[in-house]
Amino acid sequence: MKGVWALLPLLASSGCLFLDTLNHAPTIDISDGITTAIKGSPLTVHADANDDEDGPSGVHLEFSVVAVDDQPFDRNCDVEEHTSGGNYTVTFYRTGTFEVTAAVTDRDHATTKTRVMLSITDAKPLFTGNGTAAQSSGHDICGNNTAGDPITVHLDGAVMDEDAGVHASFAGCSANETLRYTWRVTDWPGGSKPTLTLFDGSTCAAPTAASGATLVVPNTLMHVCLWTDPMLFSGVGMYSVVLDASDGTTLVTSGAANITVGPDQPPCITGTEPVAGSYVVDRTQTQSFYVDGAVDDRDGFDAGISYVWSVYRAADGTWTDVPNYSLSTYELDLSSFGVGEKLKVRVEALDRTLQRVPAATCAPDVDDCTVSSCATNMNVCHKWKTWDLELR
Amino acid sequence: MGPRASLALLWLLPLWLAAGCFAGDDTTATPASDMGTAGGADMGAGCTLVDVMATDAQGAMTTAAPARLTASIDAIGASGPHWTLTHTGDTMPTPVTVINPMGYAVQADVTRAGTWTFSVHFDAGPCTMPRSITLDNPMGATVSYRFRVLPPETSGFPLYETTVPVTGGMSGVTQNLMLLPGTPVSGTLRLAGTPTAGEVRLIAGDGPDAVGLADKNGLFKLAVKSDIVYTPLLIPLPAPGSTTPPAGAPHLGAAQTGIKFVGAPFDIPGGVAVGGSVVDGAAAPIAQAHVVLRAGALPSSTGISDATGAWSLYAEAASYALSFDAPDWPQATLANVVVPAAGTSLAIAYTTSRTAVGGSVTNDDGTAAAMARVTITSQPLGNVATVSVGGGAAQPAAGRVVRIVMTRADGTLPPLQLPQGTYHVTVEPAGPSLDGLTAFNETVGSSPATWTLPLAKLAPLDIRVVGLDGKGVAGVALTAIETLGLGAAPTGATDAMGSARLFVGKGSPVQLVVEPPGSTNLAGTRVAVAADAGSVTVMLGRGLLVTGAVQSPTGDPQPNVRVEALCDGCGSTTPIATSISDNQGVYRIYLPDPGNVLVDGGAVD
Repeated sequence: MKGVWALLPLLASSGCLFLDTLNHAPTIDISDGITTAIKGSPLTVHADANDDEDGPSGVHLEFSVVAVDDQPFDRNCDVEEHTSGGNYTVTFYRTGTFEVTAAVTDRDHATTKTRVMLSITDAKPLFTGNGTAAQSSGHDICGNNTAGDPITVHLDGAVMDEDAGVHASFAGCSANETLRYTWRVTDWPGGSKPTLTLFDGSTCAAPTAASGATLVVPNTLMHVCLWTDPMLFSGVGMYSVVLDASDGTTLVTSGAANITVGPDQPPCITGTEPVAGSYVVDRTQTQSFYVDGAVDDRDGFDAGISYVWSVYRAADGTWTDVPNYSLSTYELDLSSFGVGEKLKVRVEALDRTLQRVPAATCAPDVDDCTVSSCATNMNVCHKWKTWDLELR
Repeated sequence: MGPRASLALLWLLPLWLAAGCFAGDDTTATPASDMGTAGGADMGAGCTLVDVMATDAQGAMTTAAPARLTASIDAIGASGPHWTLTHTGDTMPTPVTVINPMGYAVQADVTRAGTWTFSVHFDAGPCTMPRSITLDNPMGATVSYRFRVLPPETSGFPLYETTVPVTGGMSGVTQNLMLLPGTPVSGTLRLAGTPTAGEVRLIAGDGPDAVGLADKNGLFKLAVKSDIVYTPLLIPLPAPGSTTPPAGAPHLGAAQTGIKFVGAPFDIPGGVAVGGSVVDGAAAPIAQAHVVLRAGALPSSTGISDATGAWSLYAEAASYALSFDAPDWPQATLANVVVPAAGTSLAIAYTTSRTAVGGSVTNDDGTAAAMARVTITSQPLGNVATVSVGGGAAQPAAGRVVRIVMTRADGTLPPLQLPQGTYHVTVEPAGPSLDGLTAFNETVGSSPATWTLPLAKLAPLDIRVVGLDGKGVAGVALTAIETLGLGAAPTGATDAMGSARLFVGKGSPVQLVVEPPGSTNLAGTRVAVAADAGSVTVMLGRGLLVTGAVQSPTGDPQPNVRVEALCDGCGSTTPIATSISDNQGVYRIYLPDPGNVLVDGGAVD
């Protein structure tokens, strides 16, 4: 008799044990559905179970999942399951191939199983918006930056990765994927290698020995500072900066911020009062001169542009700078000059570089020294203007 | 409030929010000119306007201080009114007294003129608009300032001036400045029928001159105000690149309104020749003497003597002041020199004796100061020459020495011949230098003299700027303009204690330009500081803000326009305050508060 009981399971599974009326095994069918998903996104498997004798409500449905990709499978952290009726919703927190088994058991303990293979893939990081690195700090009106000055760069856009940071709610589970952001200088015009440092919202961190052409940042909101080679001050060159975003599996790269550096352009006088030219003046009257407009690529009128005033006497044959004078207006007391004397009053605009016109550029006796500067229309820049005065 | 009213208010809530309500005190920062009926019609549209009135001691309506100001608002059902009364220019609000059980009306007795602004907001209630009222100061003195507006050359607008009255005790003045293109005038400047380069100056009877520069073809253009009377001054000049003076005299034409210059000829008759000679006391000719005649605005051309002492110039027939000088000789003048229509001659003979003067300039460290600029001026010397006009009797001409020389490479002065007298000598080192302008007083007697002129380092000028409360004012921009030499102008700003130190030349008086930040509501000033003063304390008076927009005729804001305030009645031709319009065309000038009219009590001894 003992041997008979041992045979029971075999008989039951073979459907040949008829203890009662003939029982049919329940049926189960997993309807076609999504069998691929990205990590972190819920996936629902629907199974239709039935039984000839017990009906759909008389069966017990169970789902289970196993990894079939030979990778370690942590049931607590790699997957979250939820069963509701015939729906089995499962969220995977790692990529791989999984098998879901649906088992239906009727009241007579007859069980039928069916399986479906699920492929869980990684969502790649994506740049959204413009997805381009862009210069934050202002460039000059010529579109250039000053070599050696730190230039701040930010991401114009954002990075999206659907499965970054997701993890199971079970205690102790952590994300197996976080995004890593790295700013990188991809191209530079020569000279010393540029470096990147963090920008704290107001200032650039100074480069250190550890600074280099790449810089890891914690998020995409952080601006970084590009330090260019100050020795390029007289040349023109372009730096390219990108942001790499990696989820550990895929690395994507933003569009590049192309940052040009160029030489500081000379400031230009755009207007004077009176208009520069030749005048006969009353030598008993103080004469006033104004610069009423000046432009520069990096400095502004009355904000960074200063002036050098100088006076020429034919009797001396030399120009004399008005010492310690940088205002845009000048008054000249003529009472110490001679009857009928001819004078020249000149104003030259200086920007932050305080560079005078090189002697080879304009001869001292030229009344209107014009140089090239992209700060002005037609690239014609009046570096200095001169009033010729005859005192009568 | 019943449930129905509450529901109604809840229904209105989104509308209030959409209308920008609950702006709270932010609205009180709006300039007075933007409030109430004065403008800004779209601000707070749909919100309830505060009603304001001013009454005098008898309860009659008034527009002058002192006054009782009463403000009210129609806001039945609103709760928790919070009133604010501000006086433009004050940093703290003025207390008000609630006179309505629900707090919908308040009053305040004020004594000061100016603009007072009531604003109110509710804990629960409608949004509101502030309302301002400006009280006149019946005792306020009024000073008229001339505002000179200098648009950038590139703007195409000519310079123009307007008068701005400022009354003491007021909060400020709003004065928009509209640039006007003027009436264009163009033409050809001709000398005796031939186009000539030169200067076309239309001297305005009221306001700025209109000036044009004629090119070598005589072509010029300028702009005038059509209704202003101008007197044309036409001055022929050498063509650009040429040094040959034109053979003709400047011409002063007939005054007429600007519109009449449109299409008018600009012809210079040429005047008549005036010749003469310049000799010394021994009748030896003096070369390179310069001779000029001037009759008011009308100058002659310049005569320059040759090796024989002969010179010639051109002048229109008129009565002139004669001026002449020569190297190593004093400048001299003689009034009432008549040039008749047929021309005349002027025989100039120096009569003063001179003494040889030499010397040298050294730097503060004792080294030779090369290329130092040395300005030598004497006290008036009395008669230094005689002038015979048209062969007539010799007339004495008074004069003084005015000379500028440069030191040689070894720091020595070029040889000088100077009349006996007292001299003021100003030495400016060639820049850049650690030394500064240094002034000396020297005397020349009958014996040859050698001047030793050591430059000194710049001297500190300690400046303290205080406000009406005697406390230091921080952030005051300072410019110390030396009034000797070419006029160095070191700049700086006061520290938190209102102190600053500038370095100025030794022996040079200074015009100290003091420009406080607008936030202080103090007026800037110019202070004359004596030479070597060492320190100066400047007390700033209450300022009245004059502000407005510089606009084109179409209302476009005009940035970078210099606006200068000149006070013709203050005894100075220099601007007392300057502003440059910002990107919105707005300028801001703080002028001294003129205060109140001083009333003569009529008491007699």
